Amino acid sequence: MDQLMKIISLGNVFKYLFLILLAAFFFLPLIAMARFAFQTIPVVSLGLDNFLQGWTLGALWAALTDPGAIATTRLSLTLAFLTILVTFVILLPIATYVEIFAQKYKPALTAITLLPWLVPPVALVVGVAATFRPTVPWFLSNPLSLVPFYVLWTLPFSYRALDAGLRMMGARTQYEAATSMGASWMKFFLRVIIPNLKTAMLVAAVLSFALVMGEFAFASLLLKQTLPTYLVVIQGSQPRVGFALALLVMLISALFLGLLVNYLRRRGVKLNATGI
Amino acid sequence: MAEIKFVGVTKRYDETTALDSFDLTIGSGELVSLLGPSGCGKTTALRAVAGFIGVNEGDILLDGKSIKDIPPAKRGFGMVFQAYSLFPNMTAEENINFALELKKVKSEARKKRVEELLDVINLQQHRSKFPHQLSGGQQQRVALARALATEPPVLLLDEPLSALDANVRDQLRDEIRDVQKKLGITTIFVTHDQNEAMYISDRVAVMRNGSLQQIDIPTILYQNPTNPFVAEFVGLINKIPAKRISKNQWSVAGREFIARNDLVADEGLALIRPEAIAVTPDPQGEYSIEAVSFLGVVTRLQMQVAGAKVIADLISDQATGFRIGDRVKLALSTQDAFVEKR
Repeated sequence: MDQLMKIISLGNVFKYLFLILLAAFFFLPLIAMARFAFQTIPVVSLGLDNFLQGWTLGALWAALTDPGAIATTRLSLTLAFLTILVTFVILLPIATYVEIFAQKYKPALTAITLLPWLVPPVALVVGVAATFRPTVPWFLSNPLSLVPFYVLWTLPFSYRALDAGLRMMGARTQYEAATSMGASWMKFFLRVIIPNLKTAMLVAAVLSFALVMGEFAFASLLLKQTLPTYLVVIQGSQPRVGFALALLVMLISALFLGLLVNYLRRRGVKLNATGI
Repeated sequence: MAEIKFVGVTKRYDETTALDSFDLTIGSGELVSLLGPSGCGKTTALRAVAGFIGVNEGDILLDGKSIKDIPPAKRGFGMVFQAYSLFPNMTAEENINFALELKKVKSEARKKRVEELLDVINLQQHRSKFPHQLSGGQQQRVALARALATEPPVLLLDEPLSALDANVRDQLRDEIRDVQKKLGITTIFVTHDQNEAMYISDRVAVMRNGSLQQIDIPTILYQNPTNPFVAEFVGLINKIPAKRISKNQWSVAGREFIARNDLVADEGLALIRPEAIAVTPDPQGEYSIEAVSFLGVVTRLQMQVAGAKVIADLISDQATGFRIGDRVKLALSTQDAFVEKR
């Protein structure tokens, strides 16, 4: 018995040790970033002794009023919004159709929706650029040309979230019930599918939002100034402002995801039920 | 008036034939169960009537008119599913109302009809609850009300009771039968549970491998099955090793009989109902009792006959003296018995 207790408490020690290490790994860089951005002390003299000295939100204010930051945030938000919109318009009917009428194509669809993460952004961008630059040059010069890339890139998450929602609501039986009652496909889609997929759509939207707000590779390769690419630029010219901005973005993304998890928990949905 | 008729309906999937020139007529106002083991085609037949699957050959007629090419939404049949199928975003009341709304019933008339239906299924006090707040039995009652809302000519029930607890199942089964009789609605009821089928139906259609084996009222199905499969599938039946003497002449447990079907084999199994075996105490008897189970009106005795477990059902009053280990004599009533391959 005693021995058993020892093993258990030993296990607890390891558990907490692991958690502490993990927390340190996660938070130390953040603290370092915060000190760098918000303490008016030269980096070389930052130490434990002056941990509480010279804090100021000046960098944050500078970041919030920086015209470049405002413009790129607006662009990134627009991109996130359009990405979510296009994803729903295209993916929702396809996922619903496959769930109800073409179950046998589901493995294929699952595999295809994973492809965007198997093809590196460089390959995708180079391929698309080679096709579009000579044929429709205006397409890639517009910053919104990132939307199709982002729709593809968020597909692994958005499809899985929607698919899990469709399975959970028993879309197929619901379709047959609605049809036997005389509902058209459109009626069924608007009155049954959409209301019952709200949670899944929210999950898909928040994940897509978080991904787009942090996406760097596509924007950089296509020479677009979005929030993440601007962060890199500003970190070169005004490091403090850059780091303040990066922290802010991180905080907002974490807040969104936290709210989502909390919302799902209150609705009794476990996050792994979204298929992620 | 609503008569459903299957005329030589064949439905093939890639490699299997789910329905094989299936013929069946369901009379107006009749409740017919489609009964059979899984994969016999009963669900396929129902879904073909509903219009969810097309057929390769043959036709399905409603009052003599083909409905084969009418899409499910236009057939106007009521349907209740095995899986709970209420729309999760709507309350009990809204689910029923939605059915009426789809049929473009006017708002006033809708309200009245919803009230009526909530009374029929006795769920007035649960009307504002969402499906996840209702029990399985309550959900299926709402589903029934929703299916009946628009007074469809035909009601299709796809194992509506099989996901429910035993006691709820019996109660809902009776309710379905009551409502069906009251409305006189032509009903097809798919089930794999023979007791359920026997209990609820006007006639039971036994299916196997996509074709109809026999359709009859429950008593005839039990007492006079037309083939060994039906005899075995409907009710309990003993399979007792038997030897062939000549052509159709067989011998089982020391008794000779003429088998009802042809079987070319030296040995077979005679199909004998438990109540067709008379058991009498006899100290010199060939068999001994291995188990005695009191089941209320009947008492079930178990013996070994020619190496097979055999049960005999006796009226309990006449079975009070039997104990495990007693020697007994058996008298098998073998009239019209089937034999099957051993």
